[in-house]
Amino acid sequence: MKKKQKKRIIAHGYSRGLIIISVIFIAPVFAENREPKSFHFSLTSPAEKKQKHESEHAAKPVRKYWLSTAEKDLNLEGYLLNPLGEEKELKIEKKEEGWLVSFNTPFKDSEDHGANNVYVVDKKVVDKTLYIRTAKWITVNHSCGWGHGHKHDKIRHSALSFEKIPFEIVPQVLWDDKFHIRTKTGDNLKVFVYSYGKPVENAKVTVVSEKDWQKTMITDENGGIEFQMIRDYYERNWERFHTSHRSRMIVEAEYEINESGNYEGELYNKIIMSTSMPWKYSPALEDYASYKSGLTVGGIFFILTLGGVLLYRERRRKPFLELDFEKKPRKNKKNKNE
Amino acid sequence: MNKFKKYINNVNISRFRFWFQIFAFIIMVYGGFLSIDIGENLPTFSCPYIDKGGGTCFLMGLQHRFTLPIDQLISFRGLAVLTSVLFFVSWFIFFNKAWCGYICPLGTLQDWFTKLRQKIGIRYSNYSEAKFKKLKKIKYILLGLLILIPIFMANSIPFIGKLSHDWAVPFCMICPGRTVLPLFQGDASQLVIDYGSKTKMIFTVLGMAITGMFFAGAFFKKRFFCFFCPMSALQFIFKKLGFLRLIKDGTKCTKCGDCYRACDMGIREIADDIESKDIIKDDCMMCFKCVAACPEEKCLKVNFLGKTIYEATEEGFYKRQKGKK
Amino acid sequence: MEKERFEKVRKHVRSEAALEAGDVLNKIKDNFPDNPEGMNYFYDLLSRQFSEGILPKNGKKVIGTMCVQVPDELILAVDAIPIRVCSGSFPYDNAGAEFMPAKTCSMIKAIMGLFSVENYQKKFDMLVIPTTCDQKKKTTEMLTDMGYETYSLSLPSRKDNDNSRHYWQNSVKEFAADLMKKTGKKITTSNIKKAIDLKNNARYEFRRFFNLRKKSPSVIYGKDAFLVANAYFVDEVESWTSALKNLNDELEKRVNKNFSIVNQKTPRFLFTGSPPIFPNMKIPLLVEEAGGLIAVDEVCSSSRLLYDMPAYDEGALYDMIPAIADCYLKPCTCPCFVPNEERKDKLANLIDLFNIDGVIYQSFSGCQLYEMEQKLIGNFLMEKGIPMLYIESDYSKEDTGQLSTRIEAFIESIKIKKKSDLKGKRATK
Repeated sequence: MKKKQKKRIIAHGYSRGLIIISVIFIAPVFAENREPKSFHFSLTSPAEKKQKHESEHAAKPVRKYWLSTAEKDLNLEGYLLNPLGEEKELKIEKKEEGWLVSFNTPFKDSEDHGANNVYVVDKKVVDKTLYIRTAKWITVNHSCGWGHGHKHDKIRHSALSFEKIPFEIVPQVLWDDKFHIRTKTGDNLKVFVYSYGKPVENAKVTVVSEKDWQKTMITDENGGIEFQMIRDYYERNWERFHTSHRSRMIVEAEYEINESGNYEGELYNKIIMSTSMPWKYSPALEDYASYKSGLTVGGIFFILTLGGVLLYRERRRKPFLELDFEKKPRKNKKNKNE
Repeated sequence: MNKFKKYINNVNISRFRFWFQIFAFIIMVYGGFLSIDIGENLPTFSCPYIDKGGGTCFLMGLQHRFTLPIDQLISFRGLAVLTSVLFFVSWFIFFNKAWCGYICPLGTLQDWFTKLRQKIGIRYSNYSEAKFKKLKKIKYILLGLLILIPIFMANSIPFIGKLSHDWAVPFCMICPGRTVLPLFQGDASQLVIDYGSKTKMIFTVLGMAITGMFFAGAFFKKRFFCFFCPMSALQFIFKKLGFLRLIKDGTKCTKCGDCYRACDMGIREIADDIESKDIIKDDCMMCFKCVAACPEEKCLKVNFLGKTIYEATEEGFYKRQKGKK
Repeated sequence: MEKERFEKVRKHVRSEAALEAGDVLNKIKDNFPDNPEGMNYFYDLLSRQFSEGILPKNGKKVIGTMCVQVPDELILAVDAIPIRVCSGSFPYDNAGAEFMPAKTCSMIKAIMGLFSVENYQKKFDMLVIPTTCDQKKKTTEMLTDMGYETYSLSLPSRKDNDNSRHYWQNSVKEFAADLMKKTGKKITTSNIKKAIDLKNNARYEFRRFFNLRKKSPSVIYGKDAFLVANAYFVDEVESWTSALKNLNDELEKRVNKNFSIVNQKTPRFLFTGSPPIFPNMKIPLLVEEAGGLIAVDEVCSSSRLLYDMPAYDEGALYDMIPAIADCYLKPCTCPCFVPNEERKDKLANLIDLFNIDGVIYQSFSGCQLYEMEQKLIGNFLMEKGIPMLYIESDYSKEDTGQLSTRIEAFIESIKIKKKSDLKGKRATK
């Protein structure tokens, strides 16, 4: 288990310290294991350390995603599924820093408006095992300027699966019908694992939070798992706490099939499929907002206004109050007509 | 035809309005459940904070759209602002300010408070005229701020810099529509104080304070919030384009003040101005209670595209007054 | 001794007043053709008023009112009977002249004469007098001095701002509170609603009557219209309403049959100024006997009496009482208000609605307000091109001859003008 975690850390390249440690162990790791590591999409190239998050409120004419792996010999096939479930063209480029995929999303309310699924698939035989690695990125292409007219268009705001993809993770709605993403810590999230459009039972799904807390689950007969997003964003200083702070989580899935075959002339007797889907989550409302104070403030002002009006009316019922200089005014008879 | 016209003129408009408002309230607040989406840029408080509402208030989009650097605002992206205003206007002209009197869910809610107060038998409050004149200006100030603040979020102010993102949709933050209307879908999440940042905290505290005052104020004062509503100010700019008009024939007016008495917004001009033909003032919500309360034949009229659809008649007045409980 | 003398004077004045009333009534009935059947009720009522007295005998409290601004819905709500005591009787005017200043208006003198000659102290539970003109105001004090229970209903001098409106509303509220105290009956939502409805029914019939008078050529004389409104002063609202309903139905038939009492050429007049109150029908009778027709009037004893209707929004006392108050203040065109632009607007509107050829402006000598406003109204009408005859008069019959000459001349000039107008119209056609 420990070993595996290390591997993952290298692959994600999060912690500088751990990279150094892993460098020390680099030789034995490679010698021991030639199995390809799973990869995922990211907004930054593998060389960059900084984390970036995509905003669904800011439309971009061209969307670009890097593959997290530094491997050079990939045999990538790219797929793009638009919000209506139609396949579109995805451009794959091999750059010095790594692999870059891109596609155009013109700035207008068109068929691209909504969740677009970006996929790459890589197949490779190593040690008589066929590794099918896929990566998925869901980009919500939306600008409030285009309006929320697709509110009742079911297909527009549901997460789709693609039957051409050998292995993929399909989340159960992570955004609302206005395409606003609202994944918060504490939310119960549900994801499904599909293979060529069909649910996969007994797949291993691992959820990794920003600070590498992780949980592994096995899918049920519908290919689904459910988990609660844990909170791992803590600021000691109130000033530095951001309610819109976005943490990254990665959902990964793995599945083994004992099947023999021939892939491009190479024989294999086992298939290992892996896939990934990065997502983001923010602090829950409960972490920084309080009903108690809200209702208190509302209540105080309600009572103040109410009291103010009633007091004003009561005072008006006592005419010539100002004529009494020294004495306290006697109780006047209330004018019933008032 | 004459019989039909007579029937319409004898109608108890308050009752008609009561049912129409319920209908509009259901569309605006629960429209999403009925798969109804009237659209964006509506000239009424169909609050976007309601999860499954039937439309979207124009002010929300307006505040978003003005979050642009000045150079972009005067370029092609400014065009988007312009088109949205165009959409707003095209919605608006159909009903003119009757959007307030017949459709606005927040207005309807206040009318229900008034009904409740009447049932209990507690006296209403009135502003004195001097106070009223001062309060009327608040809505124009709010309208100015709700455009200026978003602009300063994208453009820096000297010495202060850009306003942070927490200033987003400043009017929505203090609008009681945001806090109150989602409650009708069981969503109380807007009632919180947001400690996420100082700005947010101040805004939410302000919002909740106004909500508290809204509940108490609307109970005593008819249409309490409408005096401060920037939507009302914005609508007033375009009132000349409206198809629906409230027309007064000053020569027939005796200044009896029955219309002024009926007016929930306390507009004195309706009784005392005998010069203007188009009598709609900035506070008017076109509820047409004044027409129903006018005892002078054809003195007040409701016109749609120049055609009279409802007018004051002696008989109608007499019947309505007699029918009162 | 003193008492006996007093009794003698009373008897004398009473019989004189009854004689005068009978005289005028005969003139009204006999000098004109085609009196509607429905008018008989009003003729009888007014002749009874002077032979039998004006006080009802059903044991209810009686509250005397002066001026149109007294909200009698409130009086009806506490189950009392409002009686307007403004008098048009010359013998009482004479009686009042004995102790009133010489330049007092005839109506004030007649009221004072009435209350000094008659022993009404026990019969009226209250006399309500709004603070309209100076003479009415002082009357209140003089009546109190005579031992009458009076109430001075405070009326603002301006009605064009909101403060005076609230002032008046408060003063009506105080009046309501006082009424409740005096009568021992509470004003409730239900009895005030009943009172409003009762008076609104009367108003509705009165409006119908008003609209029927618009017909040209006319179906009813102005002198009858004055009597109808005058009868309301002393009659019970319900019976008055049903009698007017009968009259209206009859007049409606006349309109449908295209029957009219005068012809197309008869000049139509608007009567305005000091209120003619039965039996002071001097000017209206002179006009109509000379071949004119008073198509409509703008006086507080007739058309203004029941024209304006209150509209309340919420059926509770806090709204109903101010609503009643409003309808007595805002549309009122009494010259005691400054500014009184509304009077001009109203006259202009009436001139248009009733097809008016000329205006007759009566002012009681001594009635300063109407006398002074005459100049303003005269200028306004001159601008509009409507001829106006200004008549200063009182309750005596001395000036009848001189007045009838002036009136006849005025009517003649209008007839000529109308003829040429008609010809001109025909020519253009």
